[in-house]
Amino acid sequence: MQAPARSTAFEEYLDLLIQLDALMREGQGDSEQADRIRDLMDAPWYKLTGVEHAVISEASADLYTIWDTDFYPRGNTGAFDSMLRAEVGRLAAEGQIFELLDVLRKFNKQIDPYIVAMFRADAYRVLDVPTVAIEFYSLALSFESPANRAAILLLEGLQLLNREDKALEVARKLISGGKLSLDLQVVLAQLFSDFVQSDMDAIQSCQFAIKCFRESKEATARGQSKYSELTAYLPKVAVSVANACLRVGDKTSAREHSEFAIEKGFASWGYAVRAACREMSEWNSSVADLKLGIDHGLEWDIAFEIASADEVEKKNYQNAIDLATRGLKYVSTSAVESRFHLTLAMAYALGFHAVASVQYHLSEAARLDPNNTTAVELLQNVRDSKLEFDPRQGNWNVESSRNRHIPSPPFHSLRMVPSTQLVA
Amino acid sequence: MRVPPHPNADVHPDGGNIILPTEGLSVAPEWRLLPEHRLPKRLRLKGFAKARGKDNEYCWRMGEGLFAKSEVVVGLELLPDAADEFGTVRHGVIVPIKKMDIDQFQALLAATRDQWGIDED
Repeated sequence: MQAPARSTAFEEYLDLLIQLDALMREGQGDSEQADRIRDLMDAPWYKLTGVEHAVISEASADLYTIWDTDFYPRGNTGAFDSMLRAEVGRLAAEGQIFELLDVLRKFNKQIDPYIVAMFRADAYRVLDVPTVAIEFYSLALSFESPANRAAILLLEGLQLLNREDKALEVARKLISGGKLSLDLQVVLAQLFSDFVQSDMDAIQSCQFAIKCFRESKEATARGQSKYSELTAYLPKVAVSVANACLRVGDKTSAREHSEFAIEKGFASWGYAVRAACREMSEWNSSVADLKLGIDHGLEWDIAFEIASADEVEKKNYQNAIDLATRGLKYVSTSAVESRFHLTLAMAYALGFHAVASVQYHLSEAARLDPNNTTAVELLQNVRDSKLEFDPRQGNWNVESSRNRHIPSPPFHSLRMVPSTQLVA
Repeated sequence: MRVPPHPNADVHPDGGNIILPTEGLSVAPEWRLLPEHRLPKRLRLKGFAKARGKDNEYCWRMGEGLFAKSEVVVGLELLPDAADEFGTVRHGVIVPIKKMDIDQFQALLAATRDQWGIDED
């Protein structure tokens, strides 16, 4: 089932519903605060689509099941008779989510509370309502320990909702709670690696991530088929761990993990991180790693920027132009975009593509300051001249430019180009 | 109906206390289509599992007619919203037929009180 995109009204209403549910859970459903929330719920309610109304209704009913055990008594552990299991399985398999949620409510007492919570959580994940899904993964986790799948999906949902602090809190509870499955350890390795940026205990987090990662790596290396799914996931986690190591200054571990990523097929970012691990004295090797990363599909503007600048230095102007042009697709900041344009201008100039060089200079000036009328007009003049380059000839197309008026100011910079390149 | 200075007022009279014939009292074609946070939570016992309103409030019903643009009583008109993608109209507003002083509008609404009955079945 493909979940539709949710509107702002939906997110707003859902947020208020969760707040109202929390108050009702505390017996404050008739309080002034609850009334204020209800008042705020009116406006988004009337903006919901029909599908959104249906999803909200299910969520509203199901949130009760978490705490209103008088209305929804819980079943016994292990309860789930075969007919009911078959029906629930069928609805889940066929993606009949609304019907599934209805059956789960009707037979709440006949199903193991861990199982029913997991079904509900998965249903809301499928409906693309992670805010509600994590409520049920949390509930499932409270019934069974270690509930590794519930824990993994809860952590995933919390990160999806940008609630990393809560994710870390859950993770630390899990760690203190006892034995963790390897797949959960991999998820924790990634979580702790990503969190090293801001965690006060960065080094400790990093070390924990390394430990989790190593245990998972060793288990998969032993060929334990149970963990075969991890094999594909580990190289990506290795890059995260390598990044974390870099952030805490542990270049040796960072390099070890980046090389694992390269070896296991996540070469694009593996090479990028290995490049970052190198010392300044290994600059050429760093650039070579970045180029290898690019060859393996790395989509990182800085890598393209460094690689293209290196090609200019080596007088491989066409390579520089290709790399800078490709890198422009991944530009993340205005400053990087500027540097790409200047590299392109330089590479074209040194490759005797004078007008293209001027165009890049002027368009960069016009981009940086659209109110700079001189740059904008000069750029327009260059464009109007319709001077074209033939890359095979490494020269401009004189036929198209002959007899055209070429305004003098923009071409002052062409003095750097041999005149034979300007006139056929 | 909430009136200013309520922060979520349903009507917004001008300086002369006049409201336009576009704002008024929110209504629904039937109680099941009312906002769930307004439905008394006792309705859960009737199978309406999502109700989250207060139990000291009630669902009221007036009239038997179609939920379509029409005069409700003299001076008041029902303006239904557009249907959703399933063809369901969930909401409408009882508005004054013309610009009206808010006190007069409220008096007209109050005069319909005898025609209301509790409907939660």
